[in-house]
Amino acid sequence: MVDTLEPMIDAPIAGQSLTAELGNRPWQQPPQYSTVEDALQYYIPRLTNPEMLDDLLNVMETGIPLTTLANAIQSSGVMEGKHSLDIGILIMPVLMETMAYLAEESGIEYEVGTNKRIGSDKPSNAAVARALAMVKKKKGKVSEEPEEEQVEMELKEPSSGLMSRRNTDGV
Amino acid sequence: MNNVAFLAMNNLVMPKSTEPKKQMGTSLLSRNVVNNDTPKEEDVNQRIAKYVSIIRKDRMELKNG
Repeated sequence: MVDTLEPMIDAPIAGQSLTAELGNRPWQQPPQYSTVEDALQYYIPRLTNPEMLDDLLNVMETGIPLTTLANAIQSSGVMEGKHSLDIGILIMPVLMETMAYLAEESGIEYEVGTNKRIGSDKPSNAAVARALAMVKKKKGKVSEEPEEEQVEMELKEPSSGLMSRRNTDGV
Repeated sequence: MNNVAFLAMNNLVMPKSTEPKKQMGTSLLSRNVVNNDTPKEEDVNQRIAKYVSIIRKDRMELKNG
């Protein structure tokens, strides 16, 4: 999944997935690992493999959140036809927790990526626009209300001029 | 922005730590309780939460010494 708000310029063009023969792609075949346990048995030894571990720790040290890493790992597994997308999403918390364990074991500072609420720092443009519209609406109501009150006040006080309307009560 | 890993991690319901059950008395006047020790089949989410809690427990032990 994309974590940035920037547009994906290198994204595939629409219909590109239909240019290959159906079933030729690894993800169009039945997955190699059909259960969560099988998929984890594939991933955990790979993550703890010393060769991959060094690279993984280097990436974690650069500040890339574990959520992004787990997502990338499971996406590559789906592309290779190792497991289905559902299994990939299910195992992501275990992958993240394993990576956090490995990082702490090696004494590396890492970013989990789950502490940050999406859009917590900055409200979205839509929310700002909505709030502004509400404020404008309220301001409009507030400016209208005193005028109405003034009209009512004027009506309450009968004028006493020569041309004024006669009181029907005769008072 | 739609971070699937963030959602998957945040929506995980962690299992509560279960206290060991008290053993019932075996005297003649004690209540007759059927021993049902057969493990229940768990949902995949529960299994994942269990795995995560096991690794997290180990991580906390590593962190706190």
